[in-house]
Amino acid sequence: MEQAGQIDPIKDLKKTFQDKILEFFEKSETRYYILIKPEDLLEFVDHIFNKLKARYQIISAMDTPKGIEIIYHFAFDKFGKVVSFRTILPHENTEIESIAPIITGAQWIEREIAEIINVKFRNHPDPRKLILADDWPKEVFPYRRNK
Amino acid sequence: MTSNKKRTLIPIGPYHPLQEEPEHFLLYVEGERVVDIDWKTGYNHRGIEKLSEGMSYDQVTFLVERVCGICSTSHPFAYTNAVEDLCGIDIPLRAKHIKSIIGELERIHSHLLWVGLAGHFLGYDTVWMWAWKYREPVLEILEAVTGNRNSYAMMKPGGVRRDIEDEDIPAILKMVDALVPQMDLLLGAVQDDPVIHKRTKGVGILTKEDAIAYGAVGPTARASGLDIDVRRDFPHGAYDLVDWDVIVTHNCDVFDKAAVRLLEIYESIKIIKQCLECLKTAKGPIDANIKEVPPGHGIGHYEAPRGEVFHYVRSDGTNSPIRHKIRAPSYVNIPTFKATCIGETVSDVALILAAVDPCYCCTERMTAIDVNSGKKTMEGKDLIRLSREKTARLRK
Repeated sequence: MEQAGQIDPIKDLKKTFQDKILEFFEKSETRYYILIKPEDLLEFVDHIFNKLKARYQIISAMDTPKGIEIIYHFAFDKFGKVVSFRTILPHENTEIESIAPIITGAQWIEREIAEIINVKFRNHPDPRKLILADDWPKEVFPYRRNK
Repeated sequence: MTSNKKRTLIPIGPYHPLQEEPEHFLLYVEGERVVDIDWKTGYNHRGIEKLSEGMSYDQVTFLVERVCGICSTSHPFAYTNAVEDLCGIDIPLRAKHIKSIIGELERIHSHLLWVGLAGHFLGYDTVWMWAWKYREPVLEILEAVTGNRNSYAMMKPGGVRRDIEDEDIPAILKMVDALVPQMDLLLGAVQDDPVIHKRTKGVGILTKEDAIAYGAVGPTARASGLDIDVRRDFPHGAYDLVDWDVIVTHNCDVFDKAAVRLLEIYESIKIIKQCLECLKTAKGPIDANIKEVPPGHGIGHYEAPRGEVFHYVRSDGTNSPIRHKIRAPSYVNIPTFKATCIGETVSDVALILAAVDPCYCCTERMTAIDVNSGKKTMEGKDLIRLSREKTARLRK
């Protein structure tokens, strides 16, 4: 994949978003976790996908005591690095902007996260159910830990 | 649905016991042309991610082996990579070679399975029977080495469970050597047949831009000119210790997806032979003996026959993961149908759905209901018949 020539994507991300990165964690030479604010998400995703040409891998979500943690995973195949943007949504407001308008492939996983853990993705182009049955009870979210 | 033309809805699915992924496709058809496609899944949702949260790190290896019957070693491979990444450990050299050998044997049998099914769909039952006949010795070798034809239970966090004995090596070498002329025959059958060309070339085009937008992986992406393969790009196992090539083609059609798979079998044979050679000298332990898993994140991926398998494991320092996200390759490859099927004929769509290798070849049932008369009914075999009739027409 043509991934932004010789520019080191990690250095670029640090430089571009130096004020917006809440926490930068280098797990190893190949794994990076960047904690960001939910409102900055689209800016990060647009930059990493459209400018740095990272490959979209998947989104994962989990219920933690602090809130719903959503992690967006991107791969830089040419550099052998995986960059994961972490963001935490407070339990009282689990809404975040959808990244599907930027990355078509993210539509399905956002639909899945919405129904299993109750996150509302704003501006999602097709917010239907994906894996749960149509008659699944409305207020039951199987991956939520709190009642 | 604002068009005045008569539009037919063709549901495909949702369930077939032979398929690893029961899904429901809905084709919107005008005449012979597919104008839209929709997808619904979840008919066989087993909650494996959730089950994983109640198991120990060692037990999860057996659980993820059951995600898919055909890539039954790819998921444990990716999962163990994730746990090893979480622990920040490197595994013994001998274990790396054994992991890669099992992974590549699996790739060969999976690709042969697909080639056979694609042949059957096209109306080339000889190709189907050849491919499955050649697949048999691969499964027999896997049984001899691991004890099972599928679900080998070889992987474990930190290494492998069983060694490959020195006396097994000549049998594996003999099998892979015998496979080369058989593959030449299959490759020749596909490359030289004008009817196969006519049925598959220029059909089901997935452009490079679409492949990137959908995050496509594996042969689906590599046939669209994306030079990605996590075996090479994120070195693990023995893949950075042996010499092999990533097969990339640029025509984006069904023919190229088949070509990539067939050529990958040769690369797998190359990898297996080199790893077996290395096993003769790489003596030593086969397990790094992970005692405890620290809190933190772990990401592991492996290039399954169908593309990158991605596992994310989150630990809080206890004995089981607190979150385990699994992304199988078909999860990102199947949505590409939206880009490849529209504008194609129903008989070609049968083939395009199969080209991604979601094992949708074994389409269970299909009911075409004419929205106006509500009468016409078709079944899965009719879909295969349509595809085979088109091949027969071209042969004449």
